[in-house]
Amino acid sequence: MFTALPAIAVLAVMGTVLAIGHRDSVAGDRRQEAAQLGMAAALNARRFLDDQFSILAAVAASPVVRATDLERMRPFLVDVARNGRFTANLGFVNREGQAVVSASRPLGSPPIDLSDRAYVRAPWLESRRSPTC
Amino acid sequence: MLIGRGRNRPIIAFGYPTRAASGARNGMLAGSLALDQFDAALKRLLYAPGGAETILDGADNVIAGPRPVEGLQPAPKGYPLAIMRRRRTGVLAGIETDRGTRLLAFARVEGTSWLVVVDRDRDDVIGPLDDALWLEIGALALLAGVGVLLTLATARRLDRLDRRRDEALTEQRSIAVILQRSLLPDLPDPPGLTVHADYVPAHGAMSVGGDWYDVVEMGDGRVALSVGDVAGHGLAAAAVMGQLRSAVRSMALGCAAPVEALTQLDRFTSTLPGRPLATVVYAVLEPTGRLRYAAAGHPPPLLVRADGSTAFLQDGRSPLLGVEPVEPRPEGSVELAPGDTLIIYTDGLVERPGDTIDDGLAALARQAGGRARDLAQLTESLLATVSEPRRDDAAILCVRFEGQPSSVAS
Repeated sequence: MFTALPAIAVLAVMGTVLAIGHRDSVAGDRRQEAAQLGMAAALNARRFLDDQFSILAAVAASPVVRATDLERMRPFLVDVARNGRFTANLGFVNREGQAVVSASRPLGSPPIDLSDRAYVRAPWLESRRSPTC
Repeated sequence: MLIGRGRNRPIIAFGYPTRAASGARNGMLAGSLALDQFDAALKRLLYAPGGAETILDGADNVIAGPRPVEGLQPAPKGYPLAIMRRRRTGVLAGIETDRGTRLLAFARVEGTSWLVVVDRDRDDVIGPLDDALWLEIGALALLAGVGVLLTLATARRLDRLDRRRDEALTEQRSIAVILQRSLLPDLPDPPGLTVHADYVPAHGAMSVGGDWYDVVEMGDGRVALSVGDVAGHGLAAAAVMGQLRSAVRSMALGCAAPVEALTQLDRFTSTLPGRPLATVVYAVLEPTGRLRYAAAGHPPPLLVRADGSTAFLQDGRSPLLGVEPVEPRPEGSVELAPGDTLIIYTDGLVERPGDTIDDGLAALARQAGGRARDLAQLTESLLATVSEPRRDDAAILCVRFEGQPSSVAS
């Protein structure tokens, strides 16, 4: 008389299991998608940093920098800062850690002591590019 | 990430060592960009449509994020930073933060202490799935519930119908049994004879049949014996049985020969509504022990001699009543000696599931033969041989010839 009851129960359980499985599968896909997006974003951030360092590398290889020609260096750095996304400043720091050329300050302004700054100390003391990320 | 402070605003600073033409280090380049501009630049680079990536520096400050970054801001409360720093990349679901329950995917920026965090509202990712899941489960539960209710309703309805049918059949069976019992006679006690009869209905509500037996004293010392079976079961068969038994009884009182009685009974049967079919054995036992008998489509009577031997009375057989008038019908006769027992029965006694009628007859002869027994015991033992459950009703009439009555003999 109640033979249909087990069949209905089995179908309901199977349907629930399938629904949960489907839900877990889609949720897993979403998580995977988020993880891949995170890794892609980290890679793009790294490329952005590399681009900025590439600009600095090109500036470092310029004759005015290699010649330590401070007068000619400033207009050059002003142009680079404007076009190279160094919107806050771009300057040259001498071996004593003094900012002697700045795109944002006139030449001859009192030098600013940056010797205690990590982004100065790292490339100077450890001979590597900074920021020390 | 180092955050410099130029003009009192957060900046991202880059340092790059420089060398003079001689190769000796002559200083370094220091470039910086404001944090908001860094954030804007990264937005153009990083974000997928609808994205909300956040970048944390090494001190867990937000240096880029979904909202404009204008100053140093700490990472949202609830971020499991220790785990994220340790694992460098991964996905964490169900993280409770000051923005609610979040799904966090994170990856470290190579060569830096920066951490990119893909921050998603869990409800945006899982919520619709949960809603869909509950919808699916709800639909399934609803369907299952409807199915259960339908099944229960159907089962209850079937149960009610079964009960009503059983009640109706039981009632019909009760009526039929009462009717049949009322139609079966109280047997007389003819001189020189011992008579015993019994009737058992078959199992089941419709099992009451049209079997009958009767013993009629004909008034001149002769005794008419009849056992019959109307085809069919239930009230209709029982009613026809009553009519036929009454007809046999009246014919017994007016007719001398069994053949004549059967012929008239055949005609009578053909006048009944529906032209029922019936089998019957009609016999007349004379006081001397002479038995004249005729059987219309009926199993042969069994004669059990006083010494225990048995013989079926095979003469006098003709087709059953109600099919085609047969005139004249044959008649058989046999002489009974004192102590001989005549057993007339209906087919319900000898028909067994899986056995032939011959097997049933042989079993009946075996059971009835042997030493003489009280007729009540004999009848009981013979009915006991009927297989259970009984598919057909059974009637049995046992007549023992004790000898010629002294009044007649003299």
